[in-house]
Amino acid sequence: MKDKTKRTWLIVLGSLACVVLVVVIAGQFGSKCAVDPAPGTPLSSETSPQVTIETETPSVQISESSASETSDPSTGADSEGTEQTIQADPVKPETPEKPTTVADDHTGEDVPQEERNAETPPTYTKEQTTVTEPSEPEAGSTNSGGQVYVPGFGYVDNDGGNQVVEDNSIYENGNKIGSMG
Amino acid sequence: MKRIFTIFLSVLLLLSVAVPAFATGDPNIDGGGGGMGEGSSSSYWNPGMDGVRVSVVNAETHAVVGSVIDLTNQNPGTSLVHFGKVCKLSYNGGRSLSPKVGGYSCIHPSQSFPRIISSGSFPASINAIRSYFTDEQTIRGISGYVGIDFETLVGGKYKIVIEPIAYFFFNGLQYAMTATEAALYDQQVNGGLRAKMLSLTHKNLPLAIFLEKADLGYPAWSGSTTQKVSNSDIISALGIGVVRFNDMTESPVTNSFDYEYRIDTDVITSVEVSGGQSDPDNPVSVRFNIQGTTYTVSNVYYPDGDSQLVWVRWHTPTEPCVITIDVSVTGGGSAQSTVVCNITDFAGKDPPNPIATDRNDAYAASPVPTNVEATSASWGIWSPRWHENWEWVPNWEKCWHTDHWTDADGKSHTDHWYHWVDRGWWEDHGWWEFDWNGYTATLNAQMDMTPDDKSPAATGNTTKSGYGVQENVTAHVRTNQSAAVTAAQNAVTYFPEFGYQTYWRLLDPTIIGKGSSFAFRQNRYSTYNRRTHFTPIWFPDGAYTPYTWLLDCWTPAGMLSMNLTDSITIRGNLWEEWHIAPANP
Repeated sequence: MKDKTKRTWLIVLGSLACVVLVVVIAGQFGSKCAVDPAPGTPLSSETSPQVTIETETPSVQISESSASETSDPSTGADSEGTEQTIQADPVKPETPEKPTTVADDHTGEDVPQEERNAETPPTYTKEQTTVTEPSEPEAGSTNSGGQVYVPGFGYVDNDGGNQVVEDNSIYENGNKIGSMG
Repeated sequence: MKRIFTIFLSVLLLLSVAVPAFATGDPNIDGGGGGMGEGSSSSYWNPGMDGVRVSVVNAETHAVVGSVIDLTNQNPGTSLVHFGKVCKLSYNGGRSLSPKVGGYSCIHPSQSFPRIISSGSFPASINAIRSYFTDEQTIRGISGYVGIDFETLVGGKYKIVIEPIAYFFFNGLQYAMTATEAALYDQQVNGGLRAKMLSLTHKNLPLAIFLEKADLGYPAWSGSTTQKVSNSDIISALGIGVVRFNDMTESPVTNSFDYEYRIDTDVITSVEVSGGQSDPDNPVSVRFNIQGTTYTVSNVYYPDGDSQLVWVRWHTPTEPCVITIDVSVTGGGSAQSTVVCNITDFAGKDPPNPIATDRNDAYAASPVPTNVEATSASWGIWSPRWHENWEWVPNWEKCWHTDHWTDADGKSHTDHWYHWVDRGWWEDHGWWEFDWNGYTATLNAQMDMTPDDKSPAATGNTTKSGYGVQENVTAHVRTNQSAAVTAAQNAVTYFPEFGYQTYWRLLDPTIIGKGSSFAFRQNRYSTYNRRTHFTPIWFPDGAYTPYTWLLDCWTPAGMLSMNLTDSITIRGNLWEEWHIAPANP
C-alpha cells in the first residue's frame, strides 16, 4: 500500500473515531448536566447532606364518607309477595347543567353589551363540556405516611422486605406415602 | 496499517461496551391457553411465576392446624401485595381478605417443585405435582415448617391442603394470591382483576389444581377444564388439592333434595344465574313457580362472565310434602331449571306420659349429638352503577333582538342585534360498571334449662328426678341485609333418657323481627298445663343435659343453625319428697 493511500486511510478512520467520540460525549451531556456547586456549598461528601423532602398533601384524597354517601342498594330489596327484588332499582345520574349561562327565556337586557353582534360564537373550556367520574389514586402510589395504595382497599402500610427461607429438607426421596386428588 | 486498524476496532469495541443499552418494556404475556384477558404492560404474568400454599387441616373438624406456609421456586419482588397466609377453608368459613404490602415470607424448597400453573408454552403436569407432594421427604420437610410431628401428620387424622399461587402484576403492582384470593379480590375490585387477568386468575390459576374426588366438603370439579370460571365456582370448588393418608374422603353433604324445609315456615330458595351480562339495559329476571304461584324476582344484575345468586322468599305449606319449584330465567342468563324441596314436620314425637314406676336399670348416657351447624353465612350482590361520561354537543345559533328607542329629538329608532346562544345538548357516553356488595348474617343463641317453678324440690339449678324442667332458648340473627334473612324459626329438643332420639319436643316459638325465643309447648300431662318436660324418676344423679337444634334461620346462602346444650343437676328423686305418716287422728 502506498504512503498516500495509508495517509488517506488514517485520515478517514481518524475522522470516523472523532465522530463517534463526539456522539458519545454529546449523549452524555444530553442525559445529565453537571451543575457547579453554589458558593458556600460544602464539597466534601463527608458532610451530612441537607435534604429537604417536601411532604405535600396528595392532591387526591379518598373520602371515607364516600361509602356512606352511596346508598346501600340492598336497602331497596323487597322480599314480600310475588314480585320481589334483591336490590333497589339502579339510578342513572342526572343530566349536568348546561355550560351556557344565558337562559332560554332571556331578554335583551340579560345579554352583556360585549356579547352582542360577535362574529364567532364563544368557546368553552374542556371542563365545561365534559363531565366524568374522578379516577381513584394510581395503584402503588404512596401517601404522605408512606402507605401504598392498593385498589379495593385504599392505603396500606408497607411492611418492608420479604423473608425467604432457603430450605434443605423438601425434596423427593421416591417413597410415596399419600394420595392427592 | 493492520496494527492501526486493529487499534481503531478495539477503540470502537470499548466505546460500544461503554454505551448503556436501554430496552423498552415488553412483558412476557403468555397466552396460557388463550389471551391474558386484556393484559397490558402493567398487568401481566410471566409463566413459571407460581407457588403453592400448604395448610394442614383436621380431617374431621376442618380446623387449620399449625402454620400455613407458601412454597415457591421464585423470588417475588419487594412491596409485593399479598393477603397473608390464609387457607381456603378459612375463607370459606367466613374470613375476609386482609391486604398486606411487603413482608412476604416464603420457602424455597431444596428441590424445585414442578410447574404449577400451565401456560400456553409450558403445560403443567398434575402427575408431577402429585408425585412431589405425596413424597415422604417432601411431607417430612413440610411437617417441620408447619410444626406438626411427621408421624402425627401422616397418621390419618390430618390432611394437607395444597393451593396454587400466582405471582403477577396487576395495574403495576405485583401480587401473590391463591385462586380463592383472586376470586375474592376480583369481587373487591368489582371485577377489575378478571377484566385484565382473565386467563390467569379465572382459568389457569383455579384450574391448576382441583379435586377429582370430593373431599373436605368440597365437590369434585366436573366443569370445563379449559374455559374461564366464575368467582363462585372458584370459591366453592377450585384451586384446591388434598393430600390424604387414608382412603377416607368427605363429600359435601348431599341430599336427594335441594332443600330441607319445615312446615309453616318462612324460607328462602336460591339459584345461581349466569350467562352474558345483565344490566339495567339488558336485565335478567327469574321466575319461581311454587305450587302454582309464580314469584318473579328482578333487579338481578351481574357483569359478563360472572354470576349472581338469586333468591325468593316464600312460606312453606302446613303439611309435609315434596315440592318441585320450576325456575325460568328471562333475559340472557340461565340457572338450574328445578329445585326440589322436602317439607317435613318435627311435631308428633313428644315423649310419652311419665309415670312414677318407670325404671331403666340399663341406662347408659349417650353422647350429645351434633347436627349440621352453620352460624354465619355470606353472599353478595352485583349492583350496576352508571359510569357517567357526558360530552356537550354545541349547537350555536344567532338569537336576534330588536330594541326600540326614542332620541332627545323625539325620533324613534329601531336597532336589530344578535348574540350567540347555544342550543346544544349533553350526550352521555357512559357505561355500566358493577360494584360487589357483600352481606353477612350471623346467628347467636343461648339455651337455658331451669327446674320448673312448680317444683318443690328445686334449689337453684338443682332438682330431683321426676320433676319438670323448663327451657328457654333465645336467638338473634345479625345481618346487613334484613330483607334477605329470616329469624330462627324452629328449635327441637332431644333428651338424654331417650338417647337423644326416638322422642323429642318441637319448641314453641315467639318471633319478633330478627329475634326469636323458644320454650316447651304446654305439656298435656302437666296438671297445671305447664311448659315443662318431666325428667324420668329413674334418672341417675348428675348432669341432665337436653340438646336443642336451633334451625330455620334462612339466608340466600343457606340455612343457619346451631347446636345448643344446657344442663341441670339431678340430685335425689321425687320419692324422697314423700313419706308415710299416720292420718290425722
